[in-house]
Amino acid sequence: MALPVFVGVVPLTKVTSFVLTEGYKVVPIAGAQSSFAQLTTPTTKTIDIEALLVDGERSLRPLLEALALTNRFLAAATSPLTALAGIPVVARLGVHLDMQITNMVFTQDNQLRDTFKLKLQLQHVPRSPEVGAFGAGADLALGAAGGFI
Amino acid sequence: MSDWNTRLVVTVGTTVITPIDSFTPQFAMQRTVIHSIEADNVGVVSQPRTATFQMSLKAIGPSAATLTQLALSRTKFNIQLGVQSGNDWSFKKLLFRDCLITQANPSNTTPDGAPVASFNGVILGFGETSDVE
Repeated sequence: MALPVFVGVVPLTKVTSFVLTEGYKVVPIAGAQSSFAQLTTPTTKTIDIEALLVDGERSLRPLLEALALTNRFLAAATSPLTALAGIPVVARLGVHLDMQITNMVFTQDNQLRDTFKLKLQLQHVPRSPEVGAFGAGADLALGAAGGFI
Repeated sequence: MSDWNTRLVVTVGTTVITPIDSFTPQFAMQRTVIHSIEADNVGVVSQPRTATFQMSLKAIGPSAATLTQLALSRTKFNIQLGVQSGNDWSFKKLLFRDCLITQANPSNTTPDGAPVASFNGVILGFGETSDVE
């Protein structure tokens, strides 16, 4: 059994692409021929996941929608649960706490029978420094061990 | 031990197609294997299944003309492959409903022998339990 990618409690077993974007924002300081730059703030971390939901896995859609707070009712029901650590994303490419789903696209087309294509965009929304530090530690541990898993 | 001593018959609607040289139906069930970022061969996605047929007959008698007419008028018709005599065949019948001809060569003529007509087509109705017996 393949290791799934976890988005919150949802296991995605057929992830075809997982893209992590992060960095540090650099602003050049204005001036003639200026060679100075200001490192302002870490850029927002985003994760883009593409996955397939085949057959029975299609029933994960409501769960993902609950995580993504796609309507007011779900926001009221789910947001207390994600208040502490957001949506944790656990994958070979790191442990990411405090994530929030910003965009979700489900595609059903005539070429893929009984299958949904899923595109998921998550953005890092920092909450408490403690959780952030724990997440960074877990991520570092997995990152260092990740080459050997 | 079975000896092939069976004669099959191809009918279009209720008309027997004769003299027929060959009839080749084909079912295509295309499937794509899914590989995830974590492991290979984790699942499969089915694509739409399709069915086609090829038919080759001598352009003698009304059959070739009938089929050419059906092709030009874009008429849907049923093809049935059944048993005329004998009991060696694996099936009782194969029924293909709502067939449409996509290519018709109504009379390829050569100096020797009778002209040959060949037809290719798509099958829209197939796969019900009553179609394959």
